[in-house]
Amino acid sequence: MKRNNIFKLRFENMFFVLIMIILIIYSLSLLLPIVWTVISSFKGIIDYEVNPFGWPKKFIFSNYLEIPAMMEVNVKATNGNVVRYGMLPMVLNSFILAGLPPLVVLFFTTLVAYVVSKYNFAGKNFIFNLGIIVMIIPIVGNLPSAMMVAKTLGTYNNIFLQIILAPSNIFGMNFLIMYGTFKSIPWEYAESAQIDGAGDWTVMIRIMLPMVIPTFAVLFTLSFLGSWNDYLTPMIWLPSYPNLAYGLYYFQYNASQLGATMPHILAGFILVMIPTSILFLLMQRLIMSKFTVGGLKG
Amino acid sequence: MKKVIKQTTKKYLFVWSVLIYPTILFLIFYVGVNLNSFALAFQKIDAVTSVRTWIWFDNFKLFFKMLAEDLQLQRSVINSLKTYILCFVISFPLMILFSFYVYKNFFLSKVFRLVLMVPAVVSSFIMGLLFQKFVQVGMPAFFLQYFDKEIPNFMRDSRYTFGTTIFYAIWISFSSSILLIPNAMKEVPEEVIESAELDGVGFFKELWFMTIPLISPTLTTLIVVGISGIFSNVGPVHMFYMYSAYPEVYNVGYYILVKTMTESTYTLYPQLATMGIMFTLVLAPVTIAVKVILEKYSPFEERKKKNNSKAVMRVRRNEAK
Repeated sequence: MKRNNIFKLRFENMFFVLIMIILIIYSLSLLLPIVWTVISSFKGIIDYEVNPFGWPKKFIFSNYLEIPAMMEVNVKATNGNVVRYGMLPMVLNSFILAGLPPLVVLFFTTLVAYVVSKYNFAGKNFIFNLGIIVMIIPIVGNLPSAMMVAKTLGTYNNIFLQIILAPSNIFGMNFLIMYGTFKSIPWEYAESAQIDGAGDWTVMIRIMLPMVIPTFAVLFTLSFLGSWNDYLTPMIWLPSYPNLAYGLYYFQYNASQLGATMPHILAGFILVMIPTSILFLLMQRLIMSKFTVGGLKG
Repeated sequence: MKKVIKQTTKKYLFVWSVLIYPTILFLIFYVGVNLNSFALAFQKIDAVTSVRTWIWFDNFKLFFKMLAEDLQLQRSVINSLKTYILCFVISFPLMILFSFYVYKNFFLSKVFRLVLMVPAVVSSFIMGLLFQKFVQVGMPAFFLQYFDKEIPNFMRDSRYTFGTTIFYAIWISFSSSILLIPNAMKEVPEEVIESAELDGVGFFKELWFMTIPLISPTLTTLIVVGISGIFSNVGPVHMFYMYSAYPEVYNVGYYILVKTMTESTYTLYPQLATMGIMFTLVLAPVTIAVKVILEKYSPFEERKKKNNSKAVMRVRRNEAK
């Protein structure tokens, strides 16, 4: 019996050692391209061509300094003229597009999650179930229709409207997470505030919303990270407002025409990933602890 | 009575003042867009005047004809299904095992958690571009420099392109789950784990009989959301090839994206809308069926029922006392 247990323990240990080995190999595979990119971004073109996988003979920082002048995108402005976009306006667009729409969407997601989780009203279950249905029912191929509607209503290529109309679909994982967070907060806090004369708005703004700030911060950070690197949304919906990801995407395709070499492209990758990496490292602990999703039931 | 009515009115005013703006936007940009898409499926658009006329089921006939004859569409459907199945079969068990490893704080677990988060931090977009450059340039250079061996171009050689996109999709897939699943595992009550440890339950049994059943709602969510995206996910195809991907790597999401973005007129939109409706009609029941089955036969539900019946027994026993 004892021998059996020892055998089991060894077998289990071996299995988890195997998982550890897979994790080590996988981790190395994730880090290797990044390390290669960082090292290569400091090489001159000849050094890179001769020794593409080795340590740089001489660290060249000028690749990073030359990028802002090289990374340019020609886009059609809203008035129809072709405009050359430099790196700085693209950085500004990145901050606007990664910051404002996620903030507006998340704000309304939080409010809706709050009323659905804390108030009893006709239609409450319908809204929750609608949220689940919208999340899980695959609507395939509505891009052409969305494009037509956006062009008809004038929201296509209009950055201001894209921001204020962003909460058009607040359902999804974030809604479920916020709903779960509010569900876990006891209503007694609100009741004691109501005894002191607080109304619904006061309870929501002064009592309930501050309690979900950590979850809000985590979801906003993750949305920011996603939007910062989203090149497809500006490419499809805001072609006159390229962000840094859009610029980088075009830059690496047209690098040779812009006089850029492979080390320049790789330096561009590093420059784009710096802000998000810093933000993630700052928010890491909170993100690790607050990101949980339950089931699809109310 | 008056007070109750006043309070109820106040409550409804508050609730709807919160809901009104997102509801209007939802009605226009979700319901409206999808109704328009539905209408488009029964219409045609004139290339010159852009006037829409009803042609009823002609687009559907055309869709079935395309499905039978258009090799590109056939390949896209097969690729979408293959991608989901391969990613699910390979990634999902590994996701759970990696998460359990991290959750149990085994050797180097904190390091692994941080490294596995790298694609989320650096973003899948940058990781995709890094991967593309590494596979296209770095890897061949590495093999040439250190092994004096030439390797095929996995991004350009049509024999390997689809395999490379699948590999990339699996390679990148662990970052979000390494946040979600260990956090869900943490919700498993400590007393349950401790008592199991005292009974000599090993890690396998703990994972299989306790952890997985208790986190099954989270796993169900991940599975259902994954299935719902089978025909709409573009995957890394656009990132790797923009609008000129090799036929071998096309999937349904990419097929619709390319047709939408590269057409200068609206004429093709009705056909694409029809295609969307047909794929939705196939996938929606599957998604709902999977959700219902997983929830009905979830070990979590059984455990909940058991706990409830135990609680009822306890109450009855106390009452009897």
